[in-house]
Amino acid sequence: MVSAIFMVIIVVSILLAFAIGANDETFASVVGVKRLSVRMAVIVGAIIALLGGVFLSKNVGETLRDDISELDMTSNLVLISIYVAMAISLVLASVFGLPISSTEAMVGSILGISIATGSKINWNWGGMGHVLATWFISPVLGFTISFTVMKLVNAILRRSVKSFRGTEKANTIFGVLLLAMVFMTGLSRAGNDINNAIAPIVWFFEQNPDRSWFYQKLPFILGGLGLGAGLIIIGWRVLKTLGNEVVELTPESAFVTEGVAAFIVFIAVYLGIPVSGTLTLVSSFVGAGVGMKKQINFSTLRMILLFVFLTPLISGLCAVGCYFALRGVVLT
Amino acid sequence: MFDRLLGFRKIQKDMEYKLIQLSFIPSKYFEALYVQCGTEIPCHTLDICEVEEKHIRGELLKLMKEGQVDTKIELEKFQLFERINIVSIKSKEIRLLMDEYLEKMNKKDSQRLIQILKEISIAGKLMHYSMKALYDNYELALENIEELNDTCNRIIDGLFKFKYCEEEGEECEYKFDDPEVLIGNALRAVLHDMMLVGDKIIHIVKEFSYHHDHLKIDDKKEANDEEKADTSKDKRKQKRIEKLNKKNKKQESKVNTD
Repeated sequence: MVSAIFMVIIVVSILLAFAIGANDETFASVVGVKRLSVRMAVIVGAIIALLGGVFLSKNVGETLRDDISELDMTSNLVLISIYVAMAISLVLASVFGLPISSTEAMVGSILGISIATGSKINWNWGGMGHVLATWFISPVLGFTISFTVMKLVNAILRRSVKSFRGTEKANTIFGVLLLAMVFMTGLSRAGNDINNAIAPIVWFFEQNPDRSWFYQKLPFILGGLGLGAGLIIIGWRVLKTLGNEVVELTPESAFVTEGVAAFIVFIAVYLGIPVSGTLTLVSSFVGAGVGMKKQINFSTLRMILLFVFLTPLISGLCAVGCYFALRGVVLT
Repeated sequence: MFDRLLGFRKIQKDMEYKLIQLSFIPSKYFEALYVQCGTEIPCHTLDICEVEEKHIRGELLKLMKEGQVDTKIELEKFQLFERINIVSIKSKEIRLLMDEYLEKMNKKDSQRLIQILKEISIAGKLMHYSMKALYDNYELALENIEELNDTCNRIIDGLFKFKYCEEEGEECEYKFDDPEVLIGNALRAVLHDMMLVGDKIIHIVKEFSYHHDHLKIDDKKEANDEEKADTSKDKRKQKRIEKLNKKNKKQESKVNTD
């Protein structure tokens, strides 16, 4: 028999998947170079999210950052509060069309509840130090590497492209490479994001290994559907902002942006360097834009930066509010 | 969908072919017009050119609609297509004017005009070569456009003399309904439009070539200089206005005290 609290956790998990989908900026570059329209991008993104969720999500390992505070992460109240706060922050930012880091939202929520409940926060390198480093290292790496690679690509193109036909050919080649890159990133990100969202409910469906494949995969399918729905319903705003309103993208700069962001995240995970996917991608956009000598839209960039700083605060406050409200309900 | 994912490469190739074809029509048209006016034998090439132009224009529009993605390249290509179209449309206007007025003109003037038609045909050819070079070699395209501009300016200069002044140096007469003026103006308009095609090609080179960043920088410098000049002018104006206002106030206060 499924308890009421578990039903709430299922709903909250799907809600978080929806919010993550709403703030998914993977297809922004493809929209920016007009290789896919916004409508087409969200539909393709939703399909990829579902596929990635079903086929690439594996058993969930670490879900919540239990290393940054002594807060009891196994408590259902804490879990629901953090998930709800993350969902609110992500949806709020998405409504404004601004990409934010889900890690930031999670850390903000944990810190909020930790402070409110008097749990000790681990400020050393193993805890918050690691997280804070993420927020500084990601933009610096994203900007620097993307700028350098863009300059390199420009130098290669300067040597090889000498006519309008060449420019069009280069655009086609980079456009196809970009699409392949984005599809792969989309699949792996969907797998990872859905993992994070549905982590608390997977164990329930894995209890009966004799049940059908569909039953076993049900949480991943629900997560994929949630992610896809978020992308279709609200996610287009983020794609539009990042794709069209930060910097004018060309297929080569979009490819550099996506490629560099994916490469940094991959290498950083491998080497154990802390990075945030969203912050890396946004800074890569700017780095490639500067490398191409394109004008940067600073008003949009300022808004994105503002939300980067506000996200932990908003999610922290939401988490605290939610935690005490739920505790009140449970106690009564 | 597959075409879209490949960036409409096939459509781009077709458009390239059609645009180059379209850019060649004005040259052929003026050549035929020159032959017709010079020999007074009706030349069917003109009708063929008109049909060909209509057909290519239709096909290009179809291709542009199919491959519409609203990228900067597409927009620039559409604008280039429009500018070539204008040249074709104005060419047809000249044919009508020539048919109507050539017989009414004196022999000497008509002969000079016919000679100008030949020169415009050469300018049209240069426009076509520039268009072709755009797709083959940016550097060559820029050289061709320089030549195109020189040729057009030279012809316009000739037209200017032709239109305004008598050979004996008597006072110039200018009547808008004079056949010479009507045809001369139409010819000048075509030449300007050809130069505008050249300008668009230069703009495309600046925008999409990886080699011509220095041209962009020059443009920016010019724009900045203009802005600075404008702002300094505005400041001077403001200062003058302020001075005048102060003077007025002083005068008013004097009047009041008196």
